[in-house]
Amino acid sequence: MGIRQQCSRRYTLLLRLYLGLLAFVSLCAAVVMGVEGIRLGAVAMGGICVLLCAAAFAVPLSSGRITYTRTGGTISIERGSLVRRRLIVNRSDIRYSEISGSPMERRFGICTVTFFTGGGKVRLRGINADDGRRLHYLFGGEAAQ
Amino acid sequence: MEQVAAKESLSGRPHLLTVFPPLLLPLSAAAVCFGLFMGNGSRSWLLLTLGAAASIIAVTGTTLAVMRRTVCHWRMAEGMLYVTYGAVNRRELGFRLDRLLYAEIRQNPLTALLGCSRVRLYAPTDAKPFFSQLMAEREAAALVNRFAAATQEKPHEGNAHSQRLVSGKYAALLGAATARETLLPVGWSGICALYGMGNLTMAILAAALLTAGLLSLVMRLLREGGLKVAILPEGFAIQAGVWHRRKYFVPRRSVIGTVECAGPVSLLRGASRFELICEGGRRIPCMRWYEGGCGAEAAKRLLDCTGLALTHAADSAAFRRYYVGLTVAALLTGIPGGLLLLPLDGTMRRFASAALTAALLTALLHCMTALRFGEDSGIHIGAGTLSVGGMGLLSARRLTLRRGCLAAVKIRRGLRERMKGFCTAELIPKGTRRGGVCRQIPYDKLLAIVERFY
Repeated sequence: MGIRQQCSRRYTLLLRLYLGLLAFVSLCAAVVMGVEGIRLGAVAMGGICVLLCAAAFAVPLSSGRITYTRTGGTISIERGSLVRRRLIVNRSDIRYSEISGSPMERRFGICTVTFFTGGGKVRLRGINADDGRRLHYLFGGEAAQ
Repeated sequence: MEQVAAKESLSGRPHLLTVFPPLLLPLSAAAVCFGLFMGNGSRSWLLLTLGAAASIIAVTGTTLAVMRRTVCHWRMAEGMLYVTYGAVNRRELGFRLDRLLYAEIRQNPLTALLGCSRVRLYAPTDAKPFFSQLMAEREAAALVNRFAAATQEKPHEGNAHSQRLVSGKYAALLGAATARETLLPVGWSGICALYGMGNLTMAILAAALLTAGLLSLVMRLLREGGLKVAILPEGFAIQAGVWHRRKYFVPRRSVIGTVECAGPVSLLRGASRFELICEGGRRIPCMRWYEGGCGAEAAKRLLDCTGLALTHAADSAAFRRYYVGLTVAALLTGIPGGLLLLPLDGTMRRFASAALTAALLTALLHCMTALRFGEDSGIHIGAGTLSVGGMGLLSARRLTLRRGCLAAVKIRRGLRERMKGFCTAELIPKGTRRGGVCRQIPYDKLLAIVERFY
């Protein structure tokens, strides 16, 4: 039995940052365009509130529930807050793997690992860069030979 | 292929030429827009805006291309390929060479002049290449040679006679596809010319169709004439293409099977199309057409070299009986009804004529299918291979799989089939959802075959 590990907390912080930025840009845009009338103003403020609520509550619920467990020859990925999904991938089925990171993700020290199998790809987002390299080495790199 | 020391690492970066395409095109567009703006007396702001936008695109594209070239780096060592790329989103890839599907080197006249070519490496997972970089010709050849050396495996037991380099042209110059591509537009041009005598529009249309047909013929001749296949101990080296010259190296282990198919004109000429298939149902560009005699011999050599030798074992009597039964059923259903209604007038007479015609046509089709089903149809087990397919009414198709590459077997048994003890089987290769179909196979025989081969 492997140890279940969660995604990095910095991933939650990054997602909150993105949503907050989007809310701020929307507010600025509404002010600059001079949104007039009660209805349009209510819609604009409602949208911004939804973004802020999502940043505050929905993001930790979804990103905090992404976990992965590594055993001898498999990796098991669980995600989803309302509907839980579990993916189990055998090491022998993984053709190769890829580590990727946007500039902000690299700044926060997190990455996305993608495993390519014969039937498609499996992505694991928001894990620590070191953990990502370890998974990449074990499942897609030299150790997988 | 050159033998490269396995322990030497091979590394490189994309060619400097990759920086120029994002610069040249938008810069040209910007120059045109600014030139028109300056030359135009009325000072069109649209031209100025378009020119500015094209300049911004040129600068941004070039900057990204430079960053991409700076970041991108590949290294091949000890059976692994490490690639780093991405100007903004950084990506790192580690790929085992023994899991690569095949390699392609592509060159157009411009890159040939500048001494560089594009290398594309394909994995079993995607149709798009996971590695596609422009590099110097020598680097490209060294990369593919290293890949070939890394994928070398022990020769198959049946390949003792094919260990030396064997090369030759296997493509026919005028296959059935050439005839179809040429005669159709030429035929339509003749119809247009006859129909529109004296009509300028029809004459132009006829000339255009004739030109298209002749161009198609010339391109097909050049394309097929330039196709070469070399069978090597470690795999296949294929050269194809007229404008874009392409070279492929396909390791022997990447090939899980072969597909051979022929349409009605090809069957009449004794030719067929032959393709290698890989995991995921991907087809590797290979021999397209060959004539009956030498082509059959070439196919046998290729099959022997890949270890896909065929033996003969089929049961066609049941298939023929089935389709004869369908023929009789169609006749018994359609003819009495049609003959009864024929003496009536009006709509019923027309309906009766249509029903009679449909019944006769259906019976004719089933009868022809029964006659076409030959001894080479059905399921065959060879030395480490399984082959399924056969002759249809208008076409023939055969799928051959290497042992260990069969993913699933779908068995369908209708009521009549269950009563008679037959079934329809679809053998599905790894990574695909569709496979080769064979009808009217005895059920217990199919189970025995699958158990032996699966």
